[in-house]
Amino acid sequence: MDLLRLLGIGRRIANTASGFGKRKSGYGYGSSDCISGNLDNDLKLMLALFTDTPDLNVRPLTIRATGRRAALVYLEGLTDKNSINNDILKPLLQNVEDGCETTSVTVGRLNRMRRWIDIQSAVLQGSSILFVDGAADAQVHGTEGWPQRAIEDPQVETSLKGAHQGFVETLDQNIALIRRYLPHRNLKIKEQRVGRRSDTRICTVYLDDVANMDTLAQIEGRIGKIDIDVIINSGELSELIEDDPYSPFPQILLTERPDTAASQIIQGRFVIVVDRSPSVLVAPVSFASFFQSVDDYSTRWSIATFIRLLRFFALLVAIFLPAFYIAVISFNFELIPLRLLLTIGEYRGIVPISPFLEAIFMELTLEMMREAGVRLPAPVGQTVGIVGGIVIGQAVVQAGLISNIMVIVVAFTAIASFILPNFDMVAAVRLLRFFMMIGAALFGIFGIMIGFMILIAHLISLESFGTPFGSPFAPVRFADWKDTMVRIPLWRMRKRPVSTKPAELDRQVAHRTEGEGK
Amino acid sequence: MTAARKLLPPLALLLLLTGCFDRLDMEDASMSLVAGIDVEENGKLYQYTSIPIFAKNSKRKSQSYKVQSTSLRQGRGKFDNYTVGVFNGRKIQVLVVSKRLIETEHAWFRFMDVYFRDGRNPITSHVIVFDGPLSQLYEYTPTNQTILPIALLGVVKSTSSRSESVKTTLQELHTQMYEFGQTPAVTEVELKQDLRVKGSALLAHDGRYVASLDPKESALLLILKKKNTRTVGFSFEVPKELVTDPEGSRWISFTAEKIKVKIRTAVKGGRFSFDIRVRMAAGLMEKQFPADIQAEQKRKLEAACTEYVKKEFEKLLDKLRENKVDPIGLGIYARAYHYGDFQKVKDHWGEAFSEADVNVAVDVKITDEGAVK
Repeated sequence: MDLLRLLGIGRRIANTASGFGKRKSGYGYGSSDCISGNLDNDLKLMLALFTDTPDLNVRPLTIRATGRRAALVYLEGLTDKNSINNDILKPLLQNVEDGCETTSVTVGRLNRMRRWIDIQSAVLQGSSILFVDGAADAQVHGTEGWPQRAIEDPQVETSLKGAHQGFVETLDQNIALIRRYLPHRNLKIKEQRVGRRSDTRICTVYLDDVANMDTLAQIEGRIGKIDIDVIINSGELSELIEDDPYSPFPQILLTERPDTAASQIIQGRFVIVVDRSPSVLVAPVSFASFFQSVDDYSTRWSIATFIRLLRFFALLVAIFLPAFYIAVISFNFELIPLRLLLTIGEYRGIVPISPFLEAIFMELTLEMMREAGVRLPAPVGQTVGIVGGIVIGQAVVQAGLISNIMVIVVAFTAIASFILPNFDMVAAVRLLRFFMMIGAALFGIFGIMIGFMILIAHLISLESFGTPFGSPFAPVRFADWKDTMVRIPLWRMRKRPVSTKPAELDRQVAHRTEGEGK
Repeated sequence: MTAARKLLPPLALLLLLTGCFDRLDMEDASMSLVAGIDVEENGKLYQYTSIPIFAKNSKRKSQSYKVQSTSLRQGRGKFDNYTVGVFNGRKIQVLVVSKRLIETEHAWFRFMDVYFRDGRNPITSHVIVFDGPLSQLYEYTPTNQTILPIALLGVVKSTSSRSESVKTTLQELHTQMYEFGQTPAVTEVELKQDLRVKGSALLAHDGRYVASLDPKESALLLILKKKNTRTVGFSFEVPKELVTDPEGSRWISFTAEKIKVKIRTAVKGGRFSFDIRVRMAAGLMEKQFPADIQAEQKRKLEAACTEYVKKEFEKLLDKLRENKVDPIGLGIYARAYHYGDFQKVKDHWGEAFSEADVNVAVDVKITDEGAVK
């Protein structure tokens, strides 16, 4: 009878923690949902909560110092065995001198919890719980020790001169990595929890005397509104909170580099760290942010400027070159200089399919090859290059199916998209390329122009957490141009970017005068 | 709903587009690269064209056709019957008219109307006068395996880069034809041993052929038009008193640089008069006689050069006035400074020019004697 009642509570707790829809605020517990203090009852309830959980370990014991009965409950695998054996069990079982059991435990983090829902989630996050017979609350020890990866070089965003530490899957470590760059008490962290089943910790990291508080309110508000079962990756969170989910352009920057994250924070932006995800979100960002790389600031400014310009040129090439090829060959061949025209004509003359089909075929092949290269395991991945290079590149031309010029165009677009530093932006560019090609096939150069106009109109209408995405180009903010198309010398960048609306604009005091060093 | 509303304006814009009805893939087109017009002895008008062949294995790189027609548009239809692709004139590089056509057909420029009226046609193609029957030009195969348009463009470009012939595009010809204060001039080409630029052909106001200038005269004309390239070359024999051995060679060559031309106009008793001052810096390129180019000698040499260039200019201006043509465009100066007087003569400026006084003053300074003594 008693047991049934307890089981009933257990089911209710289990239901409310994961059930959807019926109760909006899922965590409304009364005082009756606290532990009873009776060890046997509490353990029964604990086991009722975690049925079919073989990795739940319950270790009954008698505390030597006080002689009271107790039990240590934890999930095997999520906890650090050494810590439990040496820092909890050993002192509890062996220490005699003290009359209190808490002082003998040598674990850094120790909380007292009373409510079942807290205890349940603490166990699931890797804490170990000590129930003591007669105590009104349970002791929760920070013994987290789940399997994790060592800190490695960032895989996607490689850099020549930047740090070789990338984010990992543990939130606390990721925050530590950021804090290493900004050891300042104004570096603040707002923690939120999202996901009914995953209970994912999401931390917004910022400098509270630099960042704009309205933006923070927006970010917190949007994260707070999310009511979803699980968030696996930061990319999912990004899609849930970004301004225009229908846009092809990413409005939140993802990075796996702590140095990038830190430099974004110092510019007045917010970094959102999602537990279990090795990349963090940066917001608010503008279009130009996707063309900056951490190496830009450690190479000489003239070279960095050249590379910046190269990237914007590559952006145009990657979006428009195949479309331009189609438009010129199919509609306005008189624009091609005579000698080039004769050369192209010689190759085009033997190709049996129209320029549009030719371009679509080659671009799709390129996309397939790229996708194959990403997903295939490394040893097999090399074959993609061989098959692509020889079969597609050479044989198709020799067979006379595709013109040489088209192969050059495709290769050029591919190279152009490779030099863009942000993967999400490249993905957007790849998609847009096809729309431009269709526009060009239907309307020629007019089609490209219309496509270009729609693109520009869309870009300047986008926002990222209330700041214009097109900044500093539209709206024009000349002060911010110092770090977009060009990168002026660092000692000239005295102010933070205006587009993030920072509370503190000044970055440095000029220590160099104009003529110095000449 | 909102997404649909957002999409509506761009979609509405698409309605304004031309659509793909005018799509023509390059390889499906037969591009006329050199268009020619000729009149034969029977008085019939003939049209020529040269189109490139886009086939890798074919020995011939281009194909020529000849049709009889009274208008260019009519001729296009006839060409289309021959060609594999859609015949069009969108990439015409060179427009050739035969000398016989412009000698006999006074209003030959009317044939060009289609180039200006149909916006698809280019107006930047070069206009060339060919001295001889056009069939000769179109049967000609350039020796270096290139095709006719490239050979033609090549000779025109290389000669005009040395200021040895005028270079007139269809658009420029249009301007010159309708300009009261100027008469047209176009490149003249002939086939002698090989393709060769003969100089410039001078046309009257109505387009009739009047006279030809050789490359030397063309250079002088271009200087007066202020259209010369950076350097213009001169070669001549210096007077006997300047050389130690009067029986030996007296040839000297120099290139003129930094040429400055000033033109002043005046009207005296209803007659126009022009004062042309030409200043140039000469760089000595070749000297076939021993002479020390120092102080006194240098001044004498400069005087000889000045005298020679001046005589050449005077000869040219006499020739122009004799033929009642003004390819320099002095009439434009006249109109600018003496509008009223010009209005009286504007319909027959060539005549008025032939009666005008033209004085040339030349100043040559030797600035560079070369690397050897």
